[in-house]
Amino acid sequence: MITFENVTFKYNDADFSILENVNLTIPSGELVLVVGKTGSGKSTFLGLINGLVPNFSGGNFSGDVKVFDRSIRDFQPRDFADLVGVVKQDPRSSFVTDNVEDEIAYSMEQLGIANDTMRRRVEEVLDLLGLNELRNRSLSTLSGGQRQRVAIASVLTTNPKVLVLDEPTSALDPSAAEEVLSILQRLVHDLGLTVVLAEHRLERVVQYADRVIVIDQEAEVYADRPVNVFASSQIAPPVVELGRNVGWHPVPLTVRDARRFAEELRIRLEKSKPRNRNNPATQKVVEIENLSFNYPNIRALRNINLEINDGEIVCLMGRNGSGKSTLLNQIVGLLSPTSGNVNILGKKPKELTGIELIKNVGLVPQEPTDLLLSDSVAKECQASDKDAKVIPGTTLEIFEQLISSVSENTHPRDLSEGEKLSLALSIVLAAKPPLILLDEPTRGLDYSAKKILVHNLQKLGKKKHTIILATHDVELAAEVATRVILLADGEIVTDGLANEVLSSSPMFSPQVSKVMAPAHWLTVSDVVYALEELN
Amino acid sequence: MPSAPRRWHKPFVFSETRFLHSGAWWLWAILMAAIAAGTTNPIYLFSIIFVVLTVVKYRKSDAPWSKSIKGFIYAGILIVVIRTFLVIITPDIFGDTVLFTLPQIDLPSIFAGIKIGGAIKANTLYFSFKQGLRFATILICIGAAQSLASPYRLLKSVPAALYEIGLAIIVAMTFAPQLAQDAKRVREAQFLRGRKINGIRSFTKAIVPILEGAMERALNLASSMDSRGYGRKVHQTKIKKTTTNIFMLLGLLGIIFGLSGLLGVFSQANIGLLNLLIGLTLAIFSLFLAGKNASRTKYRADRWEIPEVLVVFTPLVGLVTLKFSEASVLNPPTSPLSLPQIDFVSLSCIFLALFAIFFSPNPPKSYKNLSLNSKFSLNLEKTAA
Repeated sequence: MITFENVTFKYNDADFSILENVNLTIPSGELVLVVGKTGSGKSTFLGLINGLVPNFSGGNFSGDVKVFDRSIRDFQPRDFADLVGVVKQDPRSSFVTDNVEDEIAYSMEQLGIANDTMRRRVEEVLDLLGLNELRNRSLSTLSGGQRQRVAIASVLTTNPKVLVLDEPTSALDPSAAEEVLSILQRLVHDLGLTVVLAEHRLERVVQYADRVIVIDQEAEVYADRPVNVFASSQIAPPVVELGRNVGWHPVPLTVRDARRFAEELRIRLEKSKPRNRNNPATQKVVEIENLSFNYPNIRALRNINLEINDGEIVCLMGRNGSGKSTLLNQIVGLLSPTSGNVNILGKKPKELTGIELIKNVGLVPQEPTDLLLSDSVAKECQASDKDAKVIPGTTLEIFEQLISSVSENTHPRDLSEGEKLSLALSIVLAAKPPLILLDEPTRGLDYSAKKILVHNLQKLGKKKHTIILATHDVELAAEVATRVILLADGEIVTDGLANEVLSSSPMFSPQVSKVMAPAHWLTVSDVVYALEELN
Repeated sequence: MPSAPRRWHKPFVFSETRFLHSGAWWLWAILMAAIAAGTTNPIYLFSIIFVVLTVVKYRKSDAPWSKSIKGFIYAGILIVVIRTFLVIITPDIFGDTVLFTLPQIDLPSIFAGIKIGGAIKANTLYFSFKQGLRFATILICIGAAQSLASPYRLLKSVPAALYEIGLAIIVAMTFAPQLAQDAKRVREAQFLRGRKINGIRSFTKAIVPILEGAMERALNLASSMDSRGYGRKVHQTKIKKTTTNIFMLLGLLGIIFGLSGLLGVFSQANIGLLNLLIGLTLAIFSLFLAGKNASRTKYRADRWEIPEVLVVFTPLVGLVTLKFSEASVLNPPTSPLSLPQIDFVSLSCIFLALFAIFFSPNPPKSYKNLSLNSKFSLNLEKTAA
């Protein structure tokens, strides 16, 4: 049992408390989902459970947090190691050793647990999480889902009663995410563990949650059953939004629930079609012929043939490691083909540099912060104007159009994920490249930031920009893509119109299309629009 | 493959699959380095390099840290080249085989003993080459130890009192490749912003984000180690802790002095041996002190068994026989120029160290259940992004 008593917390340099007077109890054996916008204090809330906040973060803390009667006022995070297991957003940053087995044993070594006990528990945990095959593997060779499982295993060996996870699936492809979530559910069911997890991608986790804790912008925190929370909350997965818009009651939380209601809706929309989102094409922008690319030892891309026109918004999808980022890097000229040709607007990207390059193509990398090198938003924008040789003020103007209300003096590192992405995107847009590439743009974005991104991408598509996104985010693809390309093992497996590809793939279909199958609907807004047309 | 033909390099003494004790590999490598330190005979040195690289080839694991040997080989080659061409500034050695004469720059008298250019003699070149080769060989031996024994496994064998220092070193070691990756990412980002990615200015611009990233990672790691119980059960009185640390430090210094004596840094090997003994005693004593209240446990620590003993013994024979070899064999004369002599017994004793392959068990494979494709693409995609 975890209790928060009158918890108020304020970071040292903040003007207001991020959590104010929080009182709540998390009963044992539940899977609790923490939702809230970025910057609302989710991570702070999670950190309080084992005292990492305030012990590591600093700040002003009043009230008390107790985990099974152990108070974070009296104990250090390390004293919670046998009670609370913490898994970070990026497990790589928390790995201490170099192979799976040692990593799993690390906490026990620190606690001084006897050798035979350690041996036994490692074997148990390896079996529990299905890691036996990987036991000798070096941590750096694991895939995203495997890494997440190892991180969970490594905190389970001390037999904790609580597991705290910060966005465990945001970097994972849909199948790896499912793998991790089903393991969490098993831990709750079989071991009676209390699991507290924060996640932006609600569509993936809501169905598993017993209870939802909502952290509001106004520092208000409350806990309730998912049905009650999602009847009204601002943040909701697509299936809930669909339910609310169509007027289903109680609001369905899972695709399965929604399908029970959907029969009638499907019949009503039988004659309607989703809006056409394709922009008319006038010109070929990307031409790829027989592109193959090898890293030392492996073939990352083989025989890719591709033509992309202006106005298209193309989503590259596929497992982690299927070659999406490599393909983007080829198009922007960071890598050159082993064989075959890449052409953008008739030019070879590898031969473009400097201003030539950014006038033709821009890439927003997976970590948008990589692009940000100055110490304030204003300076960043000035530098970008200079790089792109445009009138001073251009970048800032674009930035303000993308996202309003950010102070010019903010340090780029202090921006929220969505704001960082917008800043990186405005830097790319400053040079007005016809071709824009984004690598995994929604990692760490909350629903509202994602909405802004979707809106901006659609606007760019209308303005005849060509956009190529590499993404795991099925819902993002459903919202913006005009065309979807599925990659596997470096090869193009499927290439087609978004609603055909997405609604026919079991792994990559969005919630709405699962509900509305066999009809090809992808988004809530499409359904709502069609309903309005009917009336 | 149950009935695969037996390969010559399969261990024939102990056929189990496990890691050899990391300490054993380090000792083996240090002894090889000690052999190298005792001679400048290129034939001997090349033999040592051959032996070391062969053992690495067959006994390194397939984990990423095992690839470090390449770097050491390149560094070795670089050292030989640089050392050989340094003769241009220190040319004076007895001999008369002048190859060619460079214009000589005379330096003011404070730099007595150094002159730049002048007559370049084959004798000097040969002398420098031998010196460089010896240093490179020692370096490659150390690299071999790095490749054969995981630094993490070594940490497990490190005595409790040294755990903190060892951990710090290892964390630093894992940070180095990550820094390189960060640097690559930041440079790519600059390229994407249409900037030039060479020159001082771009470098200084890149440094801040790289350091910020490193700082963030360090804090992350610290907090996660703490929440996993690091530093939890260290209940030692302060005085006891300090004394143990001081003893440990003295012991280490003693060992280092001793080893450098053995490696021939000092002219008298006896000093080295004495130091080594004192150092070892101090170290063992403080280990004993620290071990008495050890609070951590070690999961599946490396065992020290017969294979370990045998492996460590393989280079010892060579080391001892070399001591009895003639000076003209160990340090072939540079003037007059002549081909290096060999002494068949001592040279073949060096090759005895190859037996480490047969005595040591096969290291476990870490990629066993992995297809080639999923093996790398993920990491590469991440680094390329």
